[in-house]
Amino acid sequence: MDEALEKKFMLYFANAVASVYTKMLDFQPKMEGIKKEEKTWVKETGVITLVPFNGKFSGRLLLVFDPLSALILHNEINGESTKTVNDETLFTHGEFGNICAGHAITEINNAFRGSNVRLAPPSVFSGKELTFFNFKMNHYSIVMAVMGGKLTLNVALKES
Amino acid sequence: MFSDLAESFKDTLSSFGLETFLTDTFEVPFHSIECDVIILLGIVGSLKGVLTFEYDDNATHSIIRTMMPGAENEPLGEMSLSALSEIGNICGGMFLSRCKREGTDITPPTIVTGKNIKAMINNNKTYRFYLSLASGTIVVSLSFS
Repeated sequence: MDEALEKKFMLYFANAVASVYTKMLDFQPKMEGIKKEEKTWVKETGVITLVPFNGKFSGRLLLVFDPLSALILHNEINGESTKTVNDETLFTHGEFGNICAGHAITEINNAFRGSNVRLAPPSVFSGKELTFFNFKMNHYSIVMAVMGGKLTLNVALKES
Repeated sequence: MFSDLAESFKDTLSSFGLETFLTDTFEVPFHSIECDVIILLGIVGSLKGVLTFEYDDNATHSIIRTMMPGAENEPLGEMSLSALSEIGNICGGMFLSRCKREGTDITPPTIVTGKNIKAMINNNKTYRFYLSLASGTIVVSLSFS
Protein backbone atom coordinates (compact mmCIF):
# COMPACT_ATOMS: atom_id res chain seq x y z
CA MET A 1 0.00 0.00 0.00
CA ASP A 2 1.70 3.25 -1.02
CA GLU A 3 2.16 6.12 1.39
CA ALA A 4 -0.11 8.51 -0.50
CA LEU A 5 -2.98 6.03 -0.31
CA GLU A 6 -2.32 5.40 3.38
CA LYS A 7 -2.40 9.14 4.12
CA LYS A 8 -5.65 9.45 2.16
CA PHE A 9 -7.05 6.62 4.26
CA MET A 10 -5.90 8.42 7.40
CA LEU A 11 -7.73 11.58 6.35
CA TYR A 12 -11.04 9.73 6.25
CA PHE A 13 -10.58 8.93 9.95
CA ALA A 14 -9.41 12.45 10.79
CA ASN A 15 -12.32 14.12 9.02
CA ALA A 16 -14.80 11.75 10.65
CA VAL A 17 -13.42 12.46 14.13
CA ALA A 18 -13.45 16.22 13.55
CA SER A 19 -16.99 16.10 12.20
CA VAL A 20 -18.39 13.99 15.05
CA TYR A 21 -16.57 16.07 17.69
CA THR A 22 -17.94 19.28 16.21
CA LYS A 23 -21.51 17.97 16.12
CA MET A 24 -21.40 16.58 19.67
CA LEU A 25 -19.50 19.35 21.43
CA ASP A 26 -20.18 22.31 19.15
CA PHE A 27 -16.41 22.88 18.90
CA GLN A 28 -14.33 22.59 15.72
CA PRO A 29 -11.02 20.77 16.42
CA LYS A 30 -7.93 22.30 14.83
CA MET A 31 -5.86 19.72 12.96
CA GLU A 32 -2.12 19.60 12.48
CA GLY A 33 -0.48 17.69 9.63
CA ILE A 34 -0.29 13.93 9.14
CA LYS A 35 2.87 12.38 10.52
CA LYS A 36 4.17 8.96 9.57
CA GLU A 37 5.52 7.25 12.69
CA GLU A 38 8.85 5.47 12.47
CA LYS A 39 8.26 3.05 15.34
CA THR A 40 5.88 0.07 15.49
CA TRP A 41 4.51 1.31 18.80
CA VAL A 42 3.01 4.36 20.45
CA LYS A 43 3.16 5.27 24.13
CA GLU A 44 0.29 7.34 25.46
CA THR A 45 -1.22 8.77 28.66
CA GLY A 46 -4.89 9.58 29.09
CA VAL A 47 -8.06 7.89 27.86
CA ILE A 48 -7.42 5.80 24.76
CA THR A 49 -10.08 4.18 22.59
CA LEU A 50 -9.00 1.31 20.35
CA VAL A 51 -11.18 0.27 17.40
CA PRO A 52 -9.89 -2.66 15.31
CA PHE A 53 -11.01 -3.12 11.72
CA ASN A 54 -10.60 -5.70 8.98
CA GLY A 55 -11.32 -6.10 5.28
CA LYS A 56 -9.27 -5.14 2.23
CA PHE A 57 -7.55 -2.76 4.67
CA SER A 58 -6.96 -3.95 8.20
CA GLY A 59 -5.55 -2.42 11.34
CA ARG A 60 -6.77 -0.28 14.20
CA LEU A 61 -7.73 3.25 15.16
CA LEU A 62 -6.56 4.86 18.41
CA LEU A 63 -8.21 7.98 19.80
CA VAL A 64 -6.02 9.41 22.56
CA PHE A 65 -7.49 12.13 24.75
CA ASP A 66 -5.29 13.76 27.37
CA PRO A 67 -6.85 13.46 30.86
CA LEU A 68 -8.49 16.89 30.97
CA SER A 69 -9.97 16.82 27.48
CA ALA A 70 -11.19 13.27 28.16
CA LEU A 71 -13.22 14.49 31.14
CA ILE A 72 -14.53 17.46 29.16
CA LEU A 73 -15.84 15.08 26.47
CA HIS A 74 -17.56 12.99 29.15
CA ASN A 75 -19.08 15.99 30.88
CA GLU A 76 -20.23 17.78 27.73
CA ILE A 77 -21.90 14.67 26.28
CA ASN A 78 -23.50 13.52 29.55
CA GLY A 79 -24.27 16.90 31.11
CA GLU A 80 -22.18 16.11 34.17
CA SER A 81 -19.27 17.64 36.10
CA THR A 82 -17.14 14.56 36.79
CA LYS A 83 -13.61 15.28 37.99
CA THR A 84 -12.08 11.81 37.68
CA VAL A 85 -12.19 9.10 35.01
CA ASN A 86 -14.77 6.45 35.91
CA ASP A 87 -16.51 3.56 34.14
CA GLU A 88 -19.03 5.90 32.56
CA THR A 89 -16.16 7.97 31.14
CA LEU A 90 -14.76 4.85 29.50
CA PHE A 91 -18.16 3.88 28.17
CA THR A 92 -18.72 7.38 26.74
CA HIS A 93 -15.36 7.33 25.00
CA GLY A 94 -16.08 3.88 23.58
CA GLU A 95 -19.32 5.11 22.08
CA PHE A 96 -17.62 8.23 20.71
CA GLY A 97 -14.88 6.13 19.11
CA ASN A 98 -17.44 3.74 17.64
CA ILE A 99 -19.38 6.59 16.03
CA CYS A 100 -16.23 8.20 14.61
CA ALA A 101 -14.92 4.90 13.24
CA GLY A 102 -18.33 4.07 11.77
CA HIS A 103 -18.45 7.38 9.89
CA ALA A 104 -14.93 6.85 8.58
CA ILE A 105 -15.51 3.27 7.45
CA THR A 106 -18.70 4.26 5.62
CA GLU A 107 -16.74 6.84 3.63
CA ILE A 108 -13.87 4.41 3.02
CA ASN A 109 -16.16 1.64 1.77
CA ASN A 110 -17.90 4.13 -0.54
CA ALA A 111 -14.59 5.45 -1.89
CA PHE A 112 -12.97 2.02 -2.29
CA ARG A 113 -15.75 -0.17 -3.67
CA GLY A 114 -15.42 -3.82 -2.66
CA SER A 115 -13.05 -3.14 0.23
CA ASN A 116 -15.68 -4.35 2.74
CA VAL A 117 -13.91 -2.90 5.78
CA ARG A 118 -15.70 -3.86 9.00
CA LEU A 119 -15.29 -2.73 12.57
CA ALA A 120 -14.87 -4.72 15.75
CA PRO A 121 -16.28 -3.28 18.99
CA PRO A 122 -14.25 -0.51 20.68
CA SER A 123 -12.12 -1.05 23.78
CA VAL A 124 -11.18 1.81 26.09
CA PHE A 125 -8.07 2.11 28.25
CA SER A 126 -7.07 4.66 30.84
CA GLY A 127 -3.64 5.08 32.38
CA LYS A 128 -0.15 6.48 32.15
CA GLU A 129 2.40 5.50 29.52
CA LEU A 130 0.34 2.74 27.99
CA THR A 131 2.06 1.25 25.00
CA PHE A 132 0.28 -0.05 21.90
CA PHE A 133 2.19 -2.27 19.48
CA ASN A 134 1.12 -3.34 16.00
CA PHE A 135 3.66 -5.22 13.95
CA LYS A 136 4.12 -5.22 10.20
CA MET A 137 1.95 -2.12 9.78
CA ASN A 138 2.52 1.52 9.05
CA HIS A 139 1.40 4.04 11.67
CA TYR A 140 0.20 7.57 11.06
CA SER A 141 -0.75 10.29 13.57
CA ILE A 142 -2.66 13.53 13.52
CA VAL A 143 -2.87 15.84 16.54
CA MET A 144 -6.00 17.94 17.01
CA ALA A 145 -6.54 20.81 19.43
CA VAL A 146 -9.83 20.13 21.22
CA MET A 147 -11.64 21.59 24.23
CA GLY A 148 -9.25 21.58 27.19
CA GLY A 149 -6.27 20.02 25.43
CA LYS A 150 -5.44 17.69 22.62
CA LEU A 151 -6.66 14.60 20.85
CA THR A 152 -4.19 12.41 19.01
CA LEU A 153 -5.50 10.18 16.29
CA ASN A 154 -3.25 7.23 15.44
CA VAL A 155 -4.06 4.68 12.75
CA ALA A 156 -2.08 1.51 12.08
CA LEU A 157 -2.96 -0.20 8.82
CA LYS A 158 -1.97 -2.54 6.07
CA GLU A 159 -3.56 -3.76 2.89
CA SER A 160 -4.76 -7.34 3.36
CA MET B 1 -17.81 -22.34 21.03
CA PHE B 2 -16.16 -21.64 24.36
CA SER B 3 -14.55 -25.08 24.42
CA ASP B 4 -13.36 -24.49 20.83
CA LEU B 5 -11.50 -21.43 22.09
CA ALA B 6 -9.94 -23.22 25.04
CA GLU B 7 -8.82 -26.12 22.84
CA SER B 8 -7.50 -23.76 20.17
CA PHE B 9 -5.38 -21.91 22.70
CA LYS B 10 -4.01 -25.05 24.30
CA ASP B 11 -3.25 -26.54 20.88
CA THR B 12 -1.51 -23.34 19.77
CA LEU B 13 0.79 -23.30 22.80
CA SER B 14 1.32 -27.03 22.54
CA SER B 15 2.58 -26.60 18.97
CA PHE B 16 5.38 -24.45 20.45
CA GLY B 17 6.16 -27.06 23.11
CA LEU B 18 4.28 -25.32 25.91
CA GLU B 19 1.85 -27.34 28.02
CA THR B 20 -0.95 -25.51 29.79
CA PHE B 21 -3.64 -26.60 32.21
CA LEU B 22 -7.11 -25.18 32.38
CA THR B 23 -7.75 -24.12 35.95
CA ASP B 24 -10.98 -22.08 35.95
CA THR B 25 -13.77 -21.03 33.61
CA PHE B 26 -16.29 -18.27 34.26
CA GLU B 27 -19.06 -16.29 32.70
CA VAL B 28 -18.68 -12.71 33.92
CA PRO B 29 -20.97 -9.71 33.28
CA PHE B 30 -18.41 -7.62 31.39
CA HIS B 31 -15.02 -7.85 29.70
CA SER B 32 -12.23 -6.31 31.75
CA ILE B 33 -8.52 -7.04 32.13
CA GLU B 34 -6.26 -8.22 34.94
CA CYS B 35 -2.69 -8.35 33.65
CA ASP B 36 -0.08 -5.91 32.34
CA VAL B 37 0.41 -7.57 28.94
CA ILE B 38 -2.70 -7.89 26.76
CA ILE B 39 -3.08 -9.16 23.21
CA LEU B 40 -6.36 -7.92 21.74
CA LEU B 41 -8.05 -9.13 18.57
CA GLY B 42 -11.35 -7.94 17.16
CA ILE B 43 -13.89 -10.28 15.63
CA VAL B 44 -15.79 -8.86 12.66
CA GLY B 45 -18.57 -10.01 10.38
CA SER B 46 -21.58 -12.14 11.26
CA LEU B 47 -20.17 -12.33 14.79
CA LYS B 48 -18.83 -9.13 16.30
CA GLY B 49 -16.71 -9.24 19.42
CA VAL B 50 -13.37 -8.98 21.20
CA LEU B 51 -10.87 -11.67 22.14
CA THR B 52 -8.11 -10.95 24.65
CA PHE B 53 -5.14 -12.94 25.89
CA GLU B 54 -3.46 -11.71 29.07
CA TYR B 55 -0.15 -12.92 30.44
CA ASP B 56 1.34 -12.38 33.87
CA ASP B 57 5.11 -11.99 34.27
CA ASN B 58 5.81 -15.70 34.86
CA ALA B 59 3.73 -16.83 31.87
CA THR B 60 5.40 -14.23 29.66
CA HIS B 61 8.81 -15.38 30.86
CA SER B 62 8.00 -19.06 30.16
CA ILE B 63 6.75 -18.39 26.65
CA ILE B 64 9.69 -16.18 25.70
CA ARG B 65 12.17 -18.68 27.16
CA THR B 66 10.68 -21.44 24.97
CA MET B 67 10.19 -19.45 21.77
CA MET B 68 13.29 -17.26 21.97
CA PRO B 69 15.86 -18.85 24.29
CA GLY B 70 18.01 -16.21 25.96
CA ALA B 71 15.55 -13.37 25.35
CA GLU B 72 13.67 -14.07 28.59
CA ASN B 73 16.43 -12.35 30.56
CA GLU B 74 16.05 -9.08 28.69
CA PRO B 75 13.37 -6.42 29.11
CA LEU B 76 10.25 -7.18 27.09
CA GLY B 77 11.19 -5.99 23.61
CA GLU B 78 9.62 -5.91 20.17
CA MET B 79 10.68 -9.42 19.18
CA SER B 80 9.26 -10.92 22.37
CA LEU B 81 6.01 -9.02 22.04
CA SER B 82 5.79 -10.03 18.40
CA ALA B 83 6.04 -13.68 19.49
CA LEU B 84 3.22 -13.22 22.02
CA SER B 85 1.17 -11.43 19.40
CA GLU B 86 1.63 -14.27 16.95
CA ILE B 87 0.32 -16.80 19.48
CA GLY B 88 -2.88 -14.76 19.75
CA ASN B 89 -3.14 -14.47 16.00
CA ILE B 90 -2.75 -18.22 15.42
CA CYS B 91 -5.18 -19.09 18.19
CA GLY B 92 -7.78 -16.61 16.93
CA GLY B 93 -7.62 -18.03 13.43
CA MET B 94 -7.80 -21.61 14.70
CA PHE B 95 -10.77 -20.76 16.89
CA LEU B 96 -12.78 -19.22 14.04
CA SER B 97 -11.93 -22.15 11.83
CA ARG B 98 -13.24 -24.58 14.46
CA CYS B 99 -16.40 -22.53 14.99
CA LYS B 100 -17.17 -22.79 11.26
CA ARG B 101 -18.89 -19.39 11.30
CA GLU B 102 -19.14 -18.12 7.73
CA GLY B 103 -18.50 -14.45 7.16
CA THR B 104 -16.42 -13.99 10.31
CA ASP B 105 -12.83 -12.85 10.54
CA ILE B 106 -10.32 -11.59 13.06
CA THR B 107 -8.48 -8.26 12.99
CA PRO B 108 -4.69 -8.01 13.30
CA PRO B 109 -3.59 -8.22 16.95
CA THR B 110 -2.79 -5.17 19.04
CA ILE B 111 -0.56 -5.55 22.08
CA VAL B 112 -1.22 -3.27 25.03
CA THR B 113 1.23 -3.00 27.90
CA GLY B 114 1.37 -0.81 30.97
CA LYS B 115 0.99 -0.73 34.73
CA ASN B 116 -2.31 -0.33 36.59
CA ILE B 117 -4.33 -0.24 33.39
CA LYS B 118 -8.00 0.62 33.80
CA ALA B 119 -9.99 -0.71 30.87
CA MET B 120 -13.44 -1.38 29.52
CA ILE B 121 -13.10 -3.92 26.75
CA ASN B 122 -16.80 -4.66 26.40
CA ASN B 123 -19.75 -4.26 28.75
CA ASN B 124 -21.43 -7.48 27.61
CA LYS B 125 -21.35 -11.00 29.02
CA THR B 126 -17.86 -12.44 28.78
CA TYR B 127 -16.53 -15.98 28.73
CA ARG B 128 -13.26 -16.18 30.63
CA PHE B 129 -10.88 -19.01 31.37
CA TYR B 130 -7.63 -19.25 33.26
CA LEU B 131 -4.73 -21.48 32.33
CA SER B 132 -1.59 -22.22 34.24
CA LEU B 133 1.73 -22.32 32.43
CA ALA B 134 4.76 -23.27 34.49
CA SER B 135 4.29 -20.93 37.49
CA GLY B 136 2.38 -18.31 35.54
CA THR B 137 -1.21 -17.54 34.64
CA ILE B 138 -2.83 -16.78 31.29
CA VAL B 139 -6.33 -15.29 31.07
CA VAL B 140 -8.35 -15.68 27.87
CA SER B 141 -11.60 -13.74 27.50
CA LEU B 142 -14.19 -13.59 24.75
CA SER B 143 -17.16 -11.24 24.51
CA PHE B 144 -19.63 -10.39 21.78
CA SER B 145 -21.64 -7.28 20.95
